Amino acid sequence: MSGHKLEVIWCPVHHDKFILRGSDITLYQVSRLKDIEKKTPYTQISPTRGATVIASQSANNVRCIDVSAIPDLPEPLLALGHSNGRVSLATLKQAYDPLGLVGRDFNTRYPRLCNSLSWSNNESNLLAVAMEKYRSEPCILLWDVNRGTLPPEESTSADSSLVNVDTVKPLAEMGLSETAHSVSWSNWSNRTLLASMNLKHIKIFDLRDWSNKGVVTASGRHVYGVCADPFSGRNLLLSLQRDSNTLRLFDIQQAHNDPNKANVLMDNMAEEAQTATAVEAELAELSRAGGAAGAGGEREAAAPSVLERELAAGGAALAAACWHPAHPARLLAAAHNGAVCELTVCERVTVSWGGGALAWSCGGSLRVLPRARARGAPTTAAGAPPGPDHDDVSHVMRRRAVTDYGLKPDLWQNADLADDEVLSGLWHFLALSKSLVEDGGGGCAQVLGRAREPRVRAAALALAGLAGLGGGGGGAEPLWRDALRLAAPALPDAYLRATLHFLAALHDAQPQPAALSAASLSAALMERDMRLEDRVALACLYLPDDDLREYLTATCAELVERGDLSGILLTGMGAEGVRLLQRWVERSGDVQTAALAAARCLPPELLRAPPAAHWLQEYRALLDGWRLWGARSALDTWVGLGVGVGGAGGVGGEDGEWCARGVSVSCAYCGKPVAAPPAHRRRPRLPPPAAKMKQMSSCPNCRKPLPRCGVCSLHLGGGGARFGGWFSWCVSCRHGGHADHLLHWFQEHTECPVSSCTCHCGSLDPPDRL
Amino acid sequence: MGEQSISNLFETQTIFADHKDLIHDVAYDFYGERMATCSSDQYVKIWDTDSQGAWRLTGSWKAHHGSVWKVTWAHPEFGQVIATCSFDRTAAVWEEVGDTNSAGSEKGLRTWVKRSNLVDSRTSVTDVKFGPKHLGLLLVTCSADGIIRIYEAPDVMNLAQWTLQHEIPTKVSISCLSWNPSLSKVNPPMLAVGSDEPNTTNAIANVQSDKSTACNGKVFIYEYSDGSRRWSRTECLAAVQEPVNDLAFAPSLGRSFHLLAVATKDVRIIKMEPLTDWNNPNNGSGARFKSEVVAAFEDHYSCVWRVCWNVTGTLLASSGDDCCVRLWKMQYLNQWKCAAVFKNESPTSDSAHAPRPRTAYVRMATMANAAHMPHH
Repeated sequence: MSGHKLEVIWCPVHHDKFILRGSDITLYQVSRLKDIEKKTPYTQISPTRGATVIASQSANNVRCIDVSAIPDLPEPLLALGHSNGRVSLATLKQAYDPLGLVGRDFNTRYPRLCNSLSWSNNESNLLAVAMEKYRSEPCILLWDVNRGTLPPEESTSADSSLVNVDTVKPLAEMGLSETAHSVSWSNWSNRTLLASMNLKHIKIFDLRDWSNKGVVTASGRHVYGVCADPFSGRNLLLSLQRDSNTLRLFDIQQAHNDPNKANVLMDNMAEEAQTATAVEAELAELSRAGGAAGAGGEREAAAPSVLERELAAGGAALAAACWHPAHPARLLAAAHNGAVCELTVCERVTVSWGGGALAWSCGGSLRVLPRARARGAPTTAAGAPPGPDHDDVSHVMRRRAVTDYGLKPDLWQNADLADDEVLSGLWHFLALSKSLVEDGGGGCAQVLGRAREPRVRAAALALAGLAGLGGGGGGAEPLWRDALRLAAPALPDAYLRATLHFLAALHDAQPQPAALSAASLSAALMERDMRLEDRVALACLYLPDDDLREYLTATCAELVERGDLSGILLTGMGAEGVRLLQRWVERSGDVQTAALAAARCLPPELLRAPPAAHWLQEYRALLDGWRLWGARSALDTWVGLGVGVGGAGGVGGEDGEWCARGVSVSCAYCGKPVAAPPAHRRRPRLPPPAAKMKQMSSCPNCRKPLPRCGVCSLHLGGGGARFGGWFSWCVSCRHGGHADHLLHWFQEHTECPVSSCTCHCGSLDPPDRL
Repeated sequence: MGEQSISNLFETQTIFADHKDLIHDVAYDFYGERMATCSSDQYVKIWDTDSQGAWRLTGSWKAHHGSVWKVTWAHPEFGQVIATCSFDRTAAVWEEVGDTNSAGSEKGLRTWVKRSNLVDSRTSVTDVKFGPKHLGLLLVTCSADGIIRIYEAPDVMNLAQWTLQHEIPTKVSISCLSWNPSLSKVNPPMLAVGSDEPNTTNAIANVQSDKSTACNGKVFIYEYSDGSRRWSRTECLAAVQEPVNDLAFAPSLGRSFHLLAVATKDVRIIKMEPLTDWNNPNNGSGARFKSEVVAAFEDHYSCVWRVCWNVTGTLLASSGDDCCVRLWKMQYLNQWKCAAVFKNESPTSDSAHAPRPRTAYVRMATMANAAHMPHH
């Protein structure tokens, strides 16, 4: 308990000043770094703020201090509690003193340690002092600093103490022959003083009537300190239990200001800040209403729930901390080594994604960042605002899914929808190779020769070809060859580079231009920027067979490893192609293209096997989440076709994901399906259901009538193949009708449309969520 | 509600949620059209979008007797169902029903009724999550005393009945959990849990004295084995040694590996590749996964609170002590990069007059001055 115990206090009036008490009492001024004059020594307490020393004095014999809340003082007024019980008022810096308070002294009759001081915030002239026990003397004294007057020049020496006692009487004296460890004014009503006494009581003094002091006593074990919640309307009281380092929070509003076991809101086994020895000093913050943290004592408290937060405060053990009087969540902390830093406690921000939109909490409110809208949407004049997912693959995939990407009947149509060169290359290749298979020949050159910028490349390759043919006459100077080779990397266009490499290689192989070796051509063939088709074509034209095979195998392996979609050219849509697509998915996240390409082109056995089936499941889940039911059912149709080609009727697969129909409607009398599933469609005696539906009002098998719609009383099945005309029914009461009639009905009713049925079908399955 | 405020580049919508205390969790439903928030004021609120895209409060009720930590939506195929968990040691399942007593005009009113209250925990329930829908209607909770409980509703039409299927003790305080959302049949049901046990010497000693858990990491992977019909710990990620505040599996999207984002002192993205031969005795380490930290970002200063993946697992959002929300985006070759920073700050934050609920300060870094730091 030496004078070196650190303490920091923000000045309640001067919000930019604080007091640091160690072996000295020092007054600091906090200002922004850029406002601090040059050459002034300052302590940086945060990245933007620094503290400059205004004044300092020795803290000899000073046991406790508090800063007054008296308004309009030019400089912070301090009350100093000395070890002999004397309390003096002082400012650290000489300034005009309009109230003449500076230098006043308040003395007790018998000298003893002064434990705690507290200025009242409501009546700023009241000062409570807590002291040690002395015989039957009161231990809490209440002074009115305006009345306890002593002219400054007289309050000089120790001998004044006896004189003053007679002239200046405290306003109130409490706690006869007791020890008070801490005093603190409450904020919930006027003149209510909290004190912790004798290490075991919390006493609450109601001092509104000096002659009739109300006292509420609550006992607890080892109550060391006590303070009140300064902000909230609830009467919260925080006590520090010394035995267990427990913080106990009482809500005493409900129990007539009686802190007892019944209204302990919480016990917090918190390590006391002063005892924390960890490198990162701990500080518990109990969160407060509204999210924007307020301040209370050393810890914040409010609701019964507790959030404990640890803040890293420099590298040293924390010695003291103080909340800023005005700014929420701003905190000043002092470490044992005397370093001071300012911290700001941020609320715990929660964040969540939902369908491309991002939401996070911010104080008591939420911030929502809507998802990126489709390009060219007419909503805003200055172009669509970028969402958080803008240009992310999820947004791109959604945009493509809306356009029926991958679902067009002709494969090449998808290429234009992709809006991406790599993908459109894939779809073009798939389309061409399909036509190759179907037409049965002649397309090879077409596949390889397909070019996007035919002129540049044709020119380049023609140049290469010409040089190859006419190279014989050009002379084979090594100088020329080296020049070509050196010039190549400088060229921006891959085709020109390849041409030069190729020319150089030709010169190498001058004697037999027809048989170029792989080694000499490698530079040209490794031009990654050149389209794979062209490289392969070049290799096919000029490489000998062995080298060609080797080159193709190596290239293929490399492309699969990189997940480069153009590699489909070499792998085809087989097992190798699946591996390549898997890498593509992992690299780009574009499960859509993989799933669609698989659904359209993979052989059935591969389509049912893990990776492809997995892509399909994931893509279906994505479509579900985007509510793109049309795209999803079209996808399932394609998958059904793809799988159905090989495996006749048993299209279910082991996981049943693509059963042909999930639901079929069967006649209540004969049990036969009313509309035939596609597997039975080819049976000659049943006409196609869509055509039949138009006039169907009875079961096609047994001719019994179909049920009637509960709303329009017509027979079901007469509405054609539209969704709105289809059967729909309540699973509870089994009444039903045409889907659009029911939707319409349940927009206004919850009860079943069938009279005398009281089933609340509408509330069982809310239709507005459909 | 729905007041628009422009932050420099992105256009955010601000919803005044009117929670009386900190909002602990925000959850979107499967379609991203409804939102649930929960707060320390013990209330849960439901928000719906209208046709203009503005959010409207459609439900608000006092759900618990303590802070509500987390809220989560069930898959819509089970109805409009949410689950909450709270400091009051319970988790609850809520279902939205139409008001059956009202007349036609008031039919739009919907209420949320508590279908079930799960009271098995003895301590604060820190997280609750519905399982992936292909496993049925599963709910997992974890509590501060380190017990993971897996409930199942055997009849999806009857949400009042939940049977406690599994109880997994972990011995450390569990703060968060995440289901692996993979739909692939190759992967068994998998859970990741994170512990916020502080790294005191005590805790380390405890963990080390426990022979079965020789690893003192903070993230554990549990997998369900069909053979033994129980959940067992198959992996402990040694890469994460600091207390974990949140973790999330990325949507698998057909990848052959799992991505796990962990919020500890930094944002970490861990790639876990299942090893095919893990049952093989020749595989010396017996490891189930080859895990690799693909990214670790310190930008949130000392503490990251939440991580969340977008629907494709290509964007990660994180929030931390610097009061910022950051987006991380996967670049070419699995490189991750910061894509955007949203500061939770009003422009006038430095002045004392900033409106309180909107003001937030950035945590300032520590000081440095020779005069006041004698040891430096």
